[in-house]
Amino acid sequence: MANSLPTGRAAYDFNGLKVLVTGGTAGIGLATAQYFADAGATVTITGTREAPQQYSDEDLGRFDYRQLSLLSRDSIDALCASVDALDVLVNNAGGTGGAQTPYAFEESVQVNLNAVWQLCQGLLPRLHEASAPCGASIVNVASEMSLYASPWFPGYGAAKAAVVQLTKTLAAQHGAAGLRCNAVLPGSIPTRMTRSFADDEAIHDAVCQRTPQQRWGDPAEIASAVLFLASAEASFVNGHTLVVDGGYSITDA
Amino acid sequence: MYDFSGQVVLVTGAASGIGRASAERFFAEGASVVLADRNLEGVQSVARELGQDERLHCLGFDAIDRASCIDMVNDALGHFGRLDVLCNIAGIAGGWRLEDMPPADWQRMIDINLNSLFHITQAAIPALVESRGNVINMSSASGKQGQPYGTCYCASKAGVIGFSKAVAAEFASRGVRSNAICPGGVKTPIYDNYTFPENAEMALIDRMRSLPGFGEAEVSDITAMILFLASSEARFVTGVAFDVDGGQLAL
Repeated sequence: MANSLPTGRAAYDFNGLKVLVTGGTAGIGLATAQYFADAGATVTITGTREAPQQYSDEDLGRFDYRQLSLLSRDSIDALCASVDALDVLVNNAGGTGGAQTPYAFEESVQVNLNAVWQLCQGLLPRLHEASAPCGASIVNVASEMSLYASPWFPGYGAAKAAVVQLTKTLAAQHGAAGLRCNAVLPGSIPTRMTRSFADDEAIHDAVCQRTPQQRWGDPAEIASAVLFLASAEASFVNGHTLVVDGGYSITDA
Repeated sequence: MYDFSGQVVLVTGAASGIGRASAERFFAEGASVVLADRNLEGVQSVARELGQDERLHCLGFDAIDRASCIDMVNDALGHFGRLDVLCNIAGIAGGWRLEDMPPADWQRMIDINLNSLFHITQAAIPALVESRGNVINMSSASGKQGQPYGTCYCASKAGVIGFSKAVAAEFASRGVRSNAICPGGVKTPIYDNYTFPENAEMALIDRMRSLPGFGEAEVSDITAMILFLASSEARFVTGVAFDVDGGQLAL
């Protein structure tokens, strides 16, 4: 269902700022990287493949690209060491491992929680050095499974719930130094990770039926929330998890 | 940085504080704005300062009175012929010891902070359905957090969250979004004039004031959130109660 107001996008100005979006080759990460780049930022994205050309479905040429495996502490440390300046960190990478081959519990916690902590820890010195007019900030991507149980992905759900609390902890720890930390909590968004569900007509329709706005969201709608939280417009927003789900979480089926 | 041209925004409580700042910012971002307040001279003075533009319309109303709320909305709709954003911001604050709070003061605060949202939103909802518009309701960190001497204020602001979410659930299928905002203490006349009871236990109040961010918000921090939620950037955001408190509720 179309549900747009007659307004255009907001004119954010991230000129001169350096943004890192983990998992920026598709879906929410790519939409976020594109929106930041459109707003003038210098954007680095990460992907699991060696080179950006290996993602044939998208032109990633406008971004700086780094290979990153969230399963590997060495890979995370190498990425952090290679970043010399940073204003905004978007911890978007993560996942279930796939419906057919879900991560083991421990792997899922490493990918979706420990890696977020390790990236924050490794990059906090750069963020504290930042002189962005909007103030440096971290935006973590949580999940509907931060709030709701899924019978298939116990590690993913536990890790994503913990990301909400980690976001608050980082906000409390670093607020006094002017560094903000917030999260977005996307509802059902068709992406590479959710494709097998989005393409299943029964699941697709069940989500629509339960969502007050009666549709799936779009990656761009999550990117909108990330940019708002990173911008000077949200300079007093700290520790908050912004739910972007078409109202899914206010209903109780 | 937004483009609200062609849209009509109704702001209650527009003579001062968050309401006034929101009206000013919506006007600056291109909207036509109805400034409604109990203090008609106050909103007229705001409109004068903004240059008496034809995109501004001032209305006096009394939030405690259902008929006055409905007349105000009808006048606004009659003037601009449409409504895209309803900002329910008018409200009062104050602290009482539970044992001492007069029922009339309880009733007055609930009437103004909560019941007026029912009257105003009920009158405005057909126009919002028509425009596929949205509602922004001013709650407070007090709506999520117990605060000493705030039994009535906290109850009224928690009620605002419930009302806001229910409107979201009921009208999403008709294209109307509804969200609430929960500021920590903001530097406004309401905050400056907030009175604690005479024999208040100061330790309780000091504990609340020691929370990070308490009372440090500027009105511009809140209006920024209002404009985001009102804009198409938030077109998939509905039923949310958004904290703007510098981390107060994170602890």
